[in-house]
Amino acid sequence: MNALYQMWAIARVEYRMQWRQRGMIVIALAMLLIMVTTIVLMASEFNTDREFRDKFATASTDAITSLTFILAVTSVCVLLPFVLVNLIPRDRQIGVIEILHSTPMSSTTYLTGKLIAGWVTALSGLVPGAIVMAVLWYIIIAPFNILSYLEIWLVGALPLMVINVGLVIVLAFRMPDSRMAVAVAVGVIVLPWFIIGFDPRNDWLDIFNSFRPGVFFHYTDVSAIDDEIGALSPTITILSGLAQLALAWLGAVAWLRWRNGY
Amino acid sequence: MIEIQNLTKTYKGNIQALKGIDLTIENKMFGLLGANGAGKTTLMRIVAGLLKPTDGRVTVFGHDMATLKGKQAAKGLLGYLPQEFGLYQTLTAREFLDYVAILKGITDSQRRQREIDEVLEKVRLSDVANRRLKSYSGGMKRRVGIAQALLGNPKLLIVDEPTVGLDPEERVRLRNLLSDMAATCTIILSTHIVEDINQSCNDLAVIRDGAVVFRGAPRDLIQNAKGKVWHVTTDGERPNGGVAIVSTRQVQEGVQYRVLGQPDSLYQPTAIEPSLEDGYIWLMNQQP
Repeated sequence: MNALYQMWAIARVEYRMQWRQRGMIVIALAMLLIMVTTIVLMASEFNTDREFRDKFATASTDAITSLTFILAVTSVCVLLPFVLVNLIPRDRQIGVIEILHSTPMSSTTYLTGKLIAGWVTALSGLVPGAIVMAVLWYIIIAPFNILSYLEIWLVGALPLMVINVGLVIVLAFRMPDSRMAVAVAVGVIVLPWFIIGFDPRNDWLDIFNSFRPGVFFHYTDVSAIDDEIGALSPTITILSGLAQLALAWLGAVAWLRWRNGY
Repeated sequence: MIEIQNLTKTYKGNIQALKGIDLTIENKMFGLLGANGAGKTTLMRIVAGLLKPTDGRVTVFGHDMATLKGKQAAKGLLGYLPQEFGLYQTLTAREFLDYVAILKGITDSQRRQREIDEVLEKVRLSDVANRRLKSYSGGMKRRVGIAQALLGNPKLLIVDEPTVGLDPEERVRLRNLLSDMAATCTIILSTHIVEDINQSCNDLAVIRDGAVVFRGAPRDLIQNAKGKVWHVTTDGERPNGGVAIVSTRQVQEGVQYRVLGQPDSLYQPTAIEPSLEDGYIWLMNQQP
């Protein structure tokens, strides 16, 4: 019970700090700006294009899921991992970690608390974004299929966020400072792109690709951006990502217990 | 009671920070004195459960620090002020203390707020408790560090160089605060500032190159230098002949040196009463 309370405290403090720093606010404002600009531009297209107007509901749903997908992938796969990767290295860099580890909190609780903190902070940016976009779209452009819209957030973006944000936080837990933490994020998020490539015909190697092609190609298909489907199903891609995260967490916990005996 | 048996710590590169330390620390204010790099912080971090020793055993109020259960139980009784630490700049002092209080297991919010108010009052930060820490001076941040160590009514308080960065008034206040707390908890005060020990501790150990070279009361350390401290006044020439100069002062007749050892009689030295600092320097000048 105490461990849960400690994890909640870590998540609360991190959430507060992240929003008081510039990083999250800049990302949120940039996303909002992109969202509003795109919606305004699309509104004029919808109002002039006769063909679109004729099949309004389908076109509206396709368009918002496309836009959602692009924004979600950009924020979940690229921006948020880079903003949140230094949750633990920053504590070490500024020297607050000595104080935190002198309390009865276990290293496992600390690591898990930071992980939850990363997810809560990321969600706190994504959820308002999703709501704002839906409302703006509904008012400015047209009604759309809410279920399709929700699916792309809940089944597509959310697991990607859990996996990518989680992986960078856990894999960077030993880094001494923010610069090294960013290097880890580059290794986890950017390098697989170049090493594995980004091709729907890739198979099992794709489970190590941070863009999770199984999910990516599924939703480019759903959102009508592209009709290619990845070699791996979204389910296998997400499960393998979660398994990687669980393995990384277990490895980190084992190392902490060996190193600190606690 | 804290028991330390045959404690050694060797860092990478075969750097021996601690060489078989044996200490028993009773329930009172205990001073740990030593030069920078003597091994004090390493010893404090091991006792606080932040560092694993290479060999040896530490028990804190009967809890074995080598076991997971023992370490967690001991940390529940501990307040620790590290020598160097940072704070979250975007939080206020109250928010930071609230966070540490929860991590220390104070889950009841009313009790937590009461304790936070008390420690803020003790370190005289109540008026600025709702200001963000980035606006604090170095001394104020140090006081936040002291406040977090006091949270949870610790039975063991480890303070590593607590007076560094504090102004003279705050230094005196902290010494008095620690002396008051020593009535109810064990305090280990690690410092290289002899005056801090002199004013507060009735039991101390001197550590040099990772080994304890003295253990006893401050008066015993002072006694070591009895008959070896002199005032020598010259026209500016530094006294030679195997003496250690403790201090120098300009006087009407020239320059007055406070020296340790046996100065040449041609200087017409005057014997004076030794201080704790004299005893410490005398000890440090002895061959290992």
